[in-house]
Amino acid sequence: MAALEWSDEFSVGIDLIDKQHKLLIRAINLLAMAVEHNSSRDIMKEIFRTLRDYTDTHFAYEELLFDRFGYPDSVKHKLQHKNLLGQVIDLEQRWLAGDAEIGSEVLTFLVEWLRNHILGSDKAYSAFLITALKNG
Amino acid sequence: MTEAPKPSRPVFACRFVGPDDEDPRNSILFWEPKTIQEWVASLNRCNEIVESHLDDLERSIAPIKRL
Repeated sequence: MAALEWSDEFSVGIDLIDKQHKLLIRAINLLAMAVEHNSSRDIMKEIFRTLRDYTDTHFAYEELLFDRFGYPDSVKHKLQHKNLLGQVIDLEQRWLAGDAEIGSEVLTFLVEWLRNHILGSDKAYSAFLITALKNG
Repeated sequence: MTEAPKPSRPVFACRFVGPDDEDPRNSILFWEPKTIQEWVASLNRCNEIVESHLDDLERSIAPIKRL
């Protein structure tokens, strides 16, 4: 069963950013699937790495748009990115060190983590960037 | 005579491509996009790579059963 399903409430109105959010959802769902199938530690490790690296990638592309168009809340948003990425890295490190198990608690954390990122902060730039992109 | 090391090619943001990657489709990923068109092309290519990587991971979790 998927840990998180895409729904229109997640859309920020920019197709390519929506696509990235869908891929992040897919990575979290793959982690849930790996838990369900009792997958090997190597597979879990690779999914975690993918989630961490793609989060980093996604933030870099968003931040380039902020800089290009002078998004007024850029500093605050970049700080949120730093914190969000730090949370995933911390979780990954704790799991690698054997201090955390990947179970329903971790999956719930990741689902909330992504929901907070999309609904809590990305929705805030939506209108600004849509207008900026239209005007080129 | 040893071959001179290749100059490092920093990747802009796509963490799924290494500096030694020589796939011509990935050349767009080796500089910071300067225009929206470049940003779209770079992001599209990176998303394709990640999607393919996620497909591989999914297959490794639940391999398709062959009859």
